[in-house]
Amino acid sequence: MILPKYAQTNLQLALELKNCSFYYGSFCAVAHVSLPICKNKITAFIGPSGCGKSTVLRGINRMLDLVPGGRMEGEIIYRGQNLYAPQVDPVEVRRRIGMVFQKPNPFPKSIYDNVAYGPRLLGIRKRPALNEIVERSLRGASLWDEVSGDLNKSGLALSGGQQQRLCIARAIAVEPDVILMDEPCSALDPIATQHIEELIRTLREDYTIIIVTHNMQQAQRAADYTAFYNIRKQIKNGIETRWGELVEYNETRQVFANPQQSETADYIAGRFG
Amino acid sequence: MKDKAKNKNKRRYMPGEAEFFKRLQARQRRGYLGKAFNYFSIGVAALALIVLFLTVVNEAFGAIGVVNTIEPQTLTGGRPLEALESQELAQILADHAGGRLRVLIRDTISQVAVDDFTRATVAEIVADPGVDAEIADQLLKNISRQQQADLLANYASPAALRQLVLEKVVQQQVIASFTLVEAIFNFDVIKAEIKGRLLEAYKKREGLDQAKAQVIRFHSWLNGQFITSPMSSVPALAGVRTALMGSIGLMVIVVLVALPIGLGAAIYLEEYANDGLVNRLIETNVRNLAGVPSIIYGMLGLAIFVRALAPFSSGLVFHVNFDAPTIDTAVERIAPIFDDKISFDGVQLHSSSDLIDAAAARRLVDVFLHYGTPSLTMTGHSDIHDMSNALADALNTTADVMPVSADSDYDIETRGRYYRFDIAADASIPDSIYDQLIAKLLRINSFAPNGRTLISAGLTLVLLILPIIIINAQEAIRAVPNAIREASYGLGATRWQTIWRQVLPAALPGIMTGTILSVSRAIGETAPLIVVGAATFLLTDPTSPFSQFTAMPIQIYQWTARPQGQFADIAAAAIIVLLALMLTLNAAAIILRNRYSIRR
Repeated sequence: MILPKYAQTNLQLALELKNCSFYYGSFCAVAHVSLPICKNKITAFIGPSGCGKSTVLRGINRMLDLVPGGRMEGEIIYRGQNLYAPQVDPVEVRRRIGMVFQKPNPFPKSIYDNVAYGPRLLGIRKRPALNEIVERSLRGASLWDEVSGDLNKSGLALSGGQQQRLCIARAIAVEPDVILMDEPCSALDPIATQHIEELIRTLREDYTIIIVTHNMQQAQRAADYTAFYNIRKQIKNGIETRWGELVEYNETRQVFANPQQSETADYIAGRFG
Repeated sequence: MKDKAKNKNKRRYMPGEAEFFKRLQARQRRGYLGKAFNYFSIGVAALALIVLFLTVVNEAFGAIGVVNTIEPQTLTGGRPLEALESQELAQILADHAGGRLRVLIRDTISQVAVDDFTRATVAEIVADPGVDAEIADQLLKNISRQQQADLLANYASPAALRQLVLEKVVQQQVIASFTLVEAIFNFDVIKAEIKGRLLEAYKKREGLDQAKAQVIRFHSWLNGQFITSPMSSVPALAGVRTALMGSIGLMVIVVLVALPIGLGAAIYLEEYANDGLVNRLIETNVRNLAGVPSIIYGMLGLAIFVRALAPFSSGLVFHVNFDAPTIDTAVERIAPIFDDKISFDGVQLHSSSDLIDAAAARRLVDVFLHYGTPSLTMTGHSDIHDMSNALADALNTTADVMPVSADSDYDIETRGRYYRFDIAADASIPDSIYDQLIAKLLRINSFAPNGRTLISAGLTLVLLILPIIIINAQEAIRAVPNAIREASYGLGATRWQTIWRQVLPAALPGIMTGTILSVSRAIGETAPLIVVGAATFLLTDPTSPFSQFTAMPIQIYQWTARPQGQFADIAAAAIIVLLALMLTLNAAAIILRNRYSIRR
């Protein structure tokens, strides 16, 4: 595995995963991931289904805790602090590290209430402040022009692509440092996908983004860095166990043009499995 | 070669053309059979519903034969009642209504609480400072009969007075009732029967020798008076007000207690509980409890709320039991019945704010025995009812206390929960019998804290429907998409914020529907209420959670159990009221659900 030369390029780190293993109960889903995430860059996680990309993503903002038996071994360093240290409140972690899900999941509320939900959780009650946050967030998610006329419309009444951008607006309303995106375009048509990709590129200026994707073109187009995960199998006493591992991590250009591992090359070229 | 062998070896599973169509026909036939059965089922259900409805309507409406005890013409000199002025109507009441003017005033125009009535001045009673200065500051019992009649004439509406004259003076007696079908198709036969056999039987029974005019008319047992009147031992005067109020009170208690607790339990089980042994045990038990027969809950309520928690459920520890009579209030409640005939001045009754104890009860029985018996012989049949009801009421008993005239000097007889006091006018009662009487009175639970109250019954019903509410709420909460929870957590919401702001609002329509449906089940329950001791004869509305109570199904059950046909008629009318209540609840459930669903 090859680490990017962030030390040489003087990039700052938003997050650093140190030898992280993710478990569901006694089952190890992903083993020994060490990964630096650069600030204000887009990092893509690619790999076959079941290799644990999403698990790692959910591990980063401790959504993994919500799954019964979900836990992590290792350290994730954020602002010099291990996110899994006992004194860290997962609620704070999730407020700093936001998340956008595979299927657009706006709340069954108005567009306004959807975006204002996060700020309200934090105790912001004043209407002018909320108004400003909502407008700023919707502009940030380039949705403002389309919905500004009818903020009281139900979030569920929007099209799929608009819903996903609403979810992004909702995520940036609490001003997180990092946004995790779990295949945000997999449920969308190509045009909506293009919108979201453009949006992600612009969001990079303010946020660190980690995106899980099955679409290698997307990773190639959008991501600055790419991490490739693969499945490992072992047969022991006739029982097959599978887990995911990080195979290669580098600048996207390098990963696609000049993969260091044969597995990576095979996967990118479609010669997989 | 090789291919051929392969084909030969390949077994054919798919049917051939002819076989396929044969089987298809068979499949279709089975489909028709299934469909026919479904139609049949819905037909049976609809038929049952229609028959039920028709039966109830048939009973609740129909024809009645009415006989007047006193003919209106003899009172008015031939003029119809409708033509009389207030003054004349009041005069009729004063002349013919026996010693009950004060009761009439109390029940029609009094603006003060019943308990304060005997201590209130005339001005307070009519709530009019401009009342005649001569009597304004007097107690009602100290002004003349004529003045009392004037008060009625001035402050009651002519319609109300006319109703009073009909009720108290004309005293229409329903001598026979017929169902709607009989009334429509056999009206002439009914008419002949009422005029002939039934009237003769009535005259014989009442010891009348002269024939009286009788009215045969269509009658709806379900009417305004039926809704607004309390229970009565005369079917034509009986109503469901106390029962309706009791049912509504139960409903309020059930909703207020069962909803938060049920919701809390459901949230715990769905959102907090891990999959441990204890939680699985709890969940299994909740599911099993939903199937426990309701009478078992009645037993539980009786043991816990009525007995073990009696000081609480009777309101004793809160000092709010308005129904627990003091000696004063008890005597005051009896007093208007005796009205002008008896003065209480000679009786030593010590004022006490304590609940009635054995000695006080003895004095109270004294009052009744001493003053009650002459009145029995003087005013006859209908007073006995009022007096016994008032006594039962005053003593806060749930039993019917029925004094009836008898040949012997005295007779105390227990029949189930009924106590008969047969006492002759000048009976001298040996101490042993006297003590026996008091012991029996004491046993009616009226002097000990009485846990047979609205709150006990309400909490019993809460236990009954709690499992159903929990299961319903669990289903509703489980149906909330996990994506909503994840989205909320992903924005940095705490668990409680997620539950309160996302899960509950999304689950609310389902929770509401479930709750209202289970509440309407609770309203229809009879068995547990019988066990926890709903009153079967109650004249007063429940005024607090610690009041005695009765409820619609109890009332219906009670009426259907009586032998007289007219009780079956008012039972049918009460069933319609209960059904209307239930339908209102269910409609509310549907409206709420739709409203919240649209908002999404």
